[in-house]
Amino acid sequence: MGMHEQTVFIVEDDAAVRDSLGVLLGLQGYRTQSFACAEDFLQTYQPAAGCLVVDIRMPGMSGLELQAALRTQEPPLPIIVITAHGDVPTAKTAFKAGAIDFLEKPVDPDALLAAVRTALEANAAQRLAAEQAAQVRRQLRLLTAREREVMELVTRGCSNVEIAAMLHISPRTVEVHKARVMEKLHVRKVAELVRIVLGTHTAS
Amino acid sequence: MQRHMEAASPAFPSLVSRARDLGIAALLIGAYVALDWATYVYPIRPLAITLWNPPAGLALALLLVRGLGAWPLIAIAAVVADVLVRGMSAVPSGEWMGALVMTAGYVAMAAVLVRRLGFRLRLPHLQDVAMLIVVTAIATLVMAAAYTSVYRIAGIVQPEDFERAVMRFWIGHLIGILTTTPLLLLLTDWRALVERLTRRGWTELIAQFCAMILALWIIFGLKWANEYRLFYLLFLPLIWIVAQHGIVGAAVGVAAIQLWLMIAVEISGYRSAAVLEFQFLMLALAVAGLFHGILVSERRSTREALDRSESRLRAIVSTAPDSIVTVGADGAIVSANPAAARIFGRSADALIGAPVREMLPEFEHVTRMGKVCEVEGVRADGSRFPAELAVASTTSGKPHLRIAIVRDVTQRKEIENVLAAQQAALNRSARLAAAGEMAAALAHELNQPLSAIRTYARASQMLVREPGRADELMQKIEREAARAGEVVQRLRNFFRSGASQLERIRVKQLIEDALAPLREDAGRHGITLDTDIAGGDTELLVDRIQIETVLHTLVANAIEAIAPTAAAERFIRIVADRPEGGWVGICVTDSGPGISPDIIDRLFEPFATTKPTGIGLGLAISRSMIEAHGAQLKAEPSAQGSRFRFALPTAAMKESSNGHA
Repeated sequence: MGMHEQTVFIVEDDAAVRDSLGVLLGLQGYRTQSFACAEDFLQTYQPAAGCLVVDIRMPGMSGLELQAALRTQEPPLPIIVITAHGDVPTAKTAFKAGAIDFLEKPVDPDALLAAVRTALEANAAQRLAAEQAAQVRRQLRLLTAREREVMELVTRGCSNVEIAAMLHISPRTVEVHKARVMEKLHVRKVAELVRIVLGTHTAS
Repeated sequence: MQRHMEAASPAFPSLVSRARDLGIAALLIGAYVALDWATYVYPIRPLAITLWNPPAGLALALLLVRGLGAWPLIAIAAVVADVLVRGMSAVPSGEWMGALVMTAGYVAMAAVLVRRLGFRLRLPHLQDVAMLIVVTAIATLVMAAAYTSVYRIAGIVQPEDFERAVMRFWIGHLIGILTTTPLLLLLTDWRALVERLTRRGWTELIAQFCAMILALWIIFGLKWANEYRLFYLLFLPLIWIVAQHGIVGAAVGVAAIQLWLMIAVEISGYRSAAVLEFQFLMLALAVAGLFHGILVSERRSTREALDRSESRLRAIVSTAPDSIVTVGADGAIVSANPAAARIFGRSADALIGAPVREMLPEFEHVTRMGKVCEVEGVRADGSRFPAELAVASTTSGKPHLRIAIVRDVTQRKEIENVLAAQQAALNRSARLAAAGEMAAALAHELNQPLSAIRTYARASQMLVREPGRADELMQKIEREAARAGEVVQRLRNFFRSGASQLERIRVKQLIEDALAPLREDAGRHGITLDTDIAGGDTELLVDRIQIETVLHTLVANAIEAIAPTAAAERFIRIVADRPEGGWVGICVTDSGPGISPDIIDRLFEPFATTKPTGIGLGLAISRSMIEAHGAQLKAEPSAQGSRFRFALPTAAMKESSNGHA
């Protein structure tokens, strides 16, 4: 899950700019992948960890159009927009569509590095959260129907006695189900259980 | 009542006009017959052959005035005259042949005159008189032969009388027509005729007729004298009348002399052969009189036409707004119109006789060119003005005169200059707009490599791990690339909105910052960069990037100008004055070759450049930037090299003006 498993995708029509960005980011230890146009990028792109540095004005598909095309990605790929025509309406559009940063050419390298760092951190965090949610969903699938009922009621804050009364089983049996749920979900405390279950609810 | 009359009128007038026409016809026939009767003198009886036959003149005049359609009237009159005057048969018979031959002859004459020759009834020109005389002479001769032959065949004319009869017929008709027809034709406008004759009063007219009578009395009254030799005396009163009254006088005079002559011979009881001789003399008199008369009339009308044309020309020349002067062969002014006096600032009298080159130095040159030229005119006070000069030459008469038409175009020139200046301003702003477009395109194109440079430089810095010179240079690369990007950005922003980003900066720092990147370049070419900054600590409120760009442009241009020369003295000097009235004057001079004269007028226009690689935007943009600071960038004349001057606002000035606002 380290930062260096992430890829910085560079989509830029100007060869020198594209290359210099690749060199700079490469020297900083980032894995980079460069494309001369948005179409090439979309053709080879598989959802991956990382971020996208994209020029706005390019022949064919523009940077903003590419940004729109990637909006449905889950988790989303953070985007840094660079442009030689820094104007307010374009910047506004880019930010509204969720861009991390909007940099004017000639690009300040340090500003770019900072933006890439921010973007990758955001991406990593999003990916981590998504990963955890997926694991919880996998573990929840191991529970029996009775165990899931018990878990639901526990996370709502019901006591063992109340649960036993509702399910017409003995408090002892409730205790057994609860122990199995916690074992399957690799949690030791009820508080942790509550957090996981709430997390899956919000994720779905 | 009146309405009734109007209603009745359509049929009524035609009856009236018919009655009137009939009346006139009867009157004309009566006049013809009466005239025939009165002039049936020295005849060859019973034929219509007399020595004076004015009815022929009446018949011809009638056909000419009323048209050929009047021929039945003539035929009837001729027959009636034959019957009444000469006692011919009153019933149609061979005896009427003569009348018909004569009618045919008159109709043929009128037809030839009017239809073939274009004869004009009022005898306006010499050719009309000549036509009448020649056609009458020929036609009457033919008629004489035909008429006499008819009666010769009928046996009325004896063979031995034939020639005499022809001759008498001819002379009688010819003189009859020449003495009558011109008078009758002119009498169709009898008011003009009377007016012409009495123009000098009745006294002279009466005197002229008395002279005529006197001449006749001398000819016929003095029995000891030879009347044929004295006949020429009749020319004298005729010449008098004709000289005064022209063709009108000739027509009236000839008719009158003929009338008096016939009365005289009748009273004196001459033989018919003698009268025949008189009629030949009379023919000469009539022809000479008519020709003389028409010449006098033509000369008079020509002179009147000339007078009219001259007065028209004089009116045109004197009211013409352009100066019109006539110049003699020697170059002296012969005449001048009022406009000339006004334009050249001297009186018309002073102009006449003066050499034209005093007022128009290029006059002779323009004469040779033969077209309208723009020249300089000189006024009396020596001042000069732009003028348009056209020179025409008279083509007839010697020596040739030349006519100079001069138009003062001072006002037009002024308007043209204003228009040209406006056009130039328009061009300038159009070019500036184009320059703005170009700056935007330039910014985009420059930003790409600058961006790459900057990024590469940053990457290189990371590569060169050990501290040292390389790293420092990389930093410089990056800084310069960043600065270049900033300039481009600012330039583009400037053209996009004209907005400047004002900041406080000290004069000295501003100039040093601007010069720093150029010092090495100047040093390489052996050029000294001098600064003379009087109030170095004065704070300015300016757009630093813009002013640095201006200074950079001026100094870089100066370096480029000096570099290729071999001059020993090589310097660029930047002088900053002490602040005065809220402004700091800055002057950039150099030791270079100065500004090329062929570019000096459009020095600040975009795309004007002498540099093979330049795009000619430097000074245009610099000027715009200085103007954006409320000042002006000017190239000043300098003894050596070039000199540019501008002023920059101080922070103190800006604050005080803002305070007031």
